[in-house]
Amino acid sequence: MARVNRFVFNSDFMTVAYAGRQEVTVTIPAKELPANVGSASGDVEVAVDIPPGCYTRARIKFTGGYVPADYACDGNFIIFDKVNNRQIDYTCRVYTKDKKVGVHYFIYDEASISSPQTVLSNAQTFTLILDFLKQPNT
Amino acid sequence: MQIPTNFIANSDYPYDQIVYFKEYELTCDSSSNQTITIAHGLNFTPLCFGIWSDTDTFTASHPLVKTFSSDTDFMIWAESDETNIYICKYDYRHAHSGQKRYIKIYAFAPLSFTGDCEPTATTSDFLIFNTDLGYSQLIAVGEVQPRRLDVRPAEPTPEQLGIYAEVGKNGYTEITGRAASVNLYYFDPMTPTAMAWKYDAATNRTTMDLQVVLATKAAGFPIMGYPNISYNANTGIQGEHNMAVGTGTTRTGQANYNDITHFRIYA
Repeated sequence: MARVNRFVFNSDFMTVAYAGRQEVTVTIPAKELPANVGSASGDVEVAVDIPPGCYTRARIKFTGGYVPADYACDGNFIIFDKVNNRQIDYTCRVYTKDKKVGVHYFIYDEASISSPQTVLSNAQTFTLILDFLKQPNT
Repeated sequence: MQIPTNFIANSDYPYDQIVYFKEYELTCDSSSNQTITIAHGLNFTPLCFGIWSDTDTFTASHPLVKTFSSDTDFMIWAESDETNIYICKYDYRHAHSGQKRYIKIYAFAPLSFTGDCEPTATTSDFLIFNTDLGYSQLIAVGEVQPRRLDVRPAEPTPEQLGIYAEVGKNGYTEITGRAASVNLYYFDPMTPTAMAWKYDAATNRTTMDLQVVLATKAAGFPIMGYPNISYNANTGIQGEHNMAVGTGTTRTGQANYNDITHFRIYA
C-alpha cells in the first residue's frame, strides 16, 4: 500500500518521532547599536537535553507586548520595539545544537543605519516550547 | 479513544507520512543569492521542511526556513513547485564561498493530493515502532485560501468570514475552504503544535512559512503577512482552548486571493 491519505499506519513511508519536549526561557540582551552602524547581532544559547540533528517545532510566548502573544513558530520570528522613538527590530532564528538550543538575533534601528546617534536596545525575554523531532525509520 | 495524548498508537489519528526525503551537500558560491534546482518526480507540489548544518554529523542544525530579509546573516530554505524543489541560499556578506552546507529535506503531500507515492522508507518491510519515542499524531490538516475582503456573504458559503472546528476529540479532521481565519478548538490535556506552508500565487512556489511578529506596546500592532497560528489559552469554557490559523484576506500587504495556507496540527 502506498496511498497517502486516510491510513492507519504504513511502514512504506518514513514518519516523524518526538524525541522530547522542553520549555525554555530566552533573553536577548540589551545591545548597543553603534552610531553609523545601527545594528548588532549575536547568539543566546540555553542548555537542554536533546539528541543532535533534531528538527525543532516551536511555540513562542511573549509577554512584553500590548497583549500576551502566543504563536506557533517554525524557527524564525521578529520582535518590534521602540527606543527614543526609534523603531528597533529584532529578527531571530532558532537552531539546535547538541545539548543546546540557540537563538540567533540581529537587532537593527529601522530608521537609519547611518545615524550618528548610538542607541541602546532593550532586552527581550520570551518562552519557547520546543518539540524535538527526529526521523525514526529510514 | 478521545484526546490523542499520552498513548503510543491510536488509529483515530494518522501519523505523518514523509513522501520525499533528500540529503544534499551544497557548496556555497560567491553570490548572495544561490538556487539549486532538484526535480522531485512527484505529481504534486510537496510541503518541504528540514534542517541544514555546517557539518555532516548535524550536531548543530538550523531549520530550513526563510528568515526575515533584513537579517544579514546566512540562511538556507526550500521552495517547491509541481516539478522541482529549490534549495535557496542567501549570503549577504558573501562570506561563505567554497564552504559546504549539509541539508536534509523532508516533504509531506498536501491535503488535496490523493494519489500514490513511492515508498521513502528503505526498511519498509519492517514495522518500526520504538516506544522510547512518541509519534506525531495528526489531529487536523488544512488547506485554506484567503477570503476576498470585499465579499461578506449573507449566508455561509465557501467564502466565509471564518471556519470553525473542534479538533482532537472525534478523530482526524480535514479542513478546506476559503476564509480569513480558521478557529480550531481543542481541549485539556492537549497542547498541540503546528506546522504551516504558504503557496505564493505570485511566484507559484510553496515554502514553509509561519510568520511570527511580536510587538511591544510602543510599536503597536504590525500588519502580518500570512500564514500565522496563534494560541488563545482560554475561550471562556473550562478546559477548552483555541488556535487561530490566519490565512489572510486580499487586503494590500496580506495575501493574494490565489495563495494557499497549508497547515498540520499535532497533538
